[in-house]
Amino acid sequence: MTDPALDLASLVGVDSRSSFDMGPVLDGLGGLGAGVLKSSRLGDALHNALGDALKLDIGALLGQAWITVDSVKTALETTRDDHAASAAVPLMPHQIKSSHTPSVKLMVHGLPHVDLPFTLDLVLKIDSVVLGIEKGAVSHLKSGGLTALATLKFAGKTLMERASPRLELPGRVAVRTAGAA
Amino acid sequence: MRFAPQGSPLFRAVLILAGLGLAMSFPAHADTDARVGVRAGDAAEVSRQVHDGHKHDDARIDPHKPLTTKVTVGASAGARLPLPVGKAPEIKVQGSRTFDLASLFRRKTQAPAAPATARPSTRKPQVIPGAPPVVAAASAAVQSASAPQASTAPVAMVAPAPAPAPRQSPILPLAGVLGGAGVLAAAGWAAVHTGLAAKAGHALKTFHRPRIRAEGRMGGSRVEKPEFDSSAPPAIGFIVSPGRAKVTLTFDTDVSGDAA
Repeated sequence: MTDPALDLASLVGVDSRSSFDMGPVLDGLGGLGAGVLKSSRLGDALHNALGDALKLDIGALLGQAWITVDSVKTALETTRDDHAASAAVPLMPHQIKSSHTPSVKLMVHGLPHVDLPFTLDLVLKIDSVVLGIEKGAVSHLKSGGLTALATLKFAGKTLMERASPRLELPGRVAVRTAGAA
Repeated sequence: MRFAPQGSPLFRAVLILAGLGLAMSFPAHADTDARVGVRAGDAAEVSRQVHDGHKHDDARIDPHKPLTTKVTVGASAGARLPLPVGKAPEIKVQGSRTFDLASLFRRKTQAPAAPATARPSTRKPQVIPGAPPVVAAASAAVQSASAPQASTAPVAMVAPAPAPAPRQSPILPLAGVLGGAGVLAAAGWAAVHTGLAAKAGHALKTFHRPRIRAEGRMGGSRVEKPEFDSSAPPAIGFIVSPGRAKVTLTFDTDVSGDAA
């Protein structure tokens, strides 16, 4: 139900090869006596693995946050049993903060070598939005836009900090709420 | 079949080297290398390198290919013994066993000739801290072979004329001592590290356990570094975990009762 896809990579461009500063990560590996691992090929492979760890579905994130608003809860309950009913819930400007802790475990010859914990802080600023709700689920967005600020850290050091331009929310976003089928 | 080597001391030493070399013959696997190093004197050191850290079970001897085992004695001397499987003597190595190497290298001009068969040493072995039991036995054997033999002759009332010194090659005892220590160290390695109990032509079972040692901490978590062959490119893999997410929503303006 996503058209178009709304994920972190498309939002702030974390899939580009130069989006991360992998230096602190590789320096950390080198400091552990793993000099043989400290190579550009490892950096590229690690970058790709980290890209997989950062694949966030922004639609699911929005639904997880919006479901906590009382007016949205009420609309979901109202339309759950009446399939002909629909509701439009306007939300004032708000922001959604999410903190993620992805990790990449480095394996050498099939054995776990080191666990690399990352921290991703994401701030979504939504100026205004009107939610269309049907059959106990958020079915569409009538209007709205957002900006995103993503910060990726490793061992207290910032690897990436990127802000997105304002993005008009598409008419439909895959919003998974508790009432969704 | 009982192992009873015959012939000269040197021949017996070579025969035991060859036999035990076959018994501990590490499967001719490209990924496995074993080194046995023995320092002259009391200290013995056994080291082993496992290149790939993988486990190879039920490695079998190919009866059509000669097996080679490299036993390095001392810092510079060494021997490489190609052994056709079918012609090797039947030797069984189980657990820790002590060979009295002194009986093999005892001078014929001294005390009565010892039985040629291997028998337990009567000397108390010097324990090397941290060394496997059989390596300690090797050390004891070195001492036994090096020590002067006890005389069994009755005590004479008159001092006898000094007997001429026995003629002996200075190389043979040293080679015997070092070779014997190498043999026992090799046997010890085989018995202790691989639990080897094999005869020629039988299957060998090897247990390779990659060694893991802690290296430090990163990001507050403990880090372990497995040993691997630095000369080969490491096989790198990743396990990606998305981790947990904590989501909060706040309104910029005060909308009482709306925010959860």
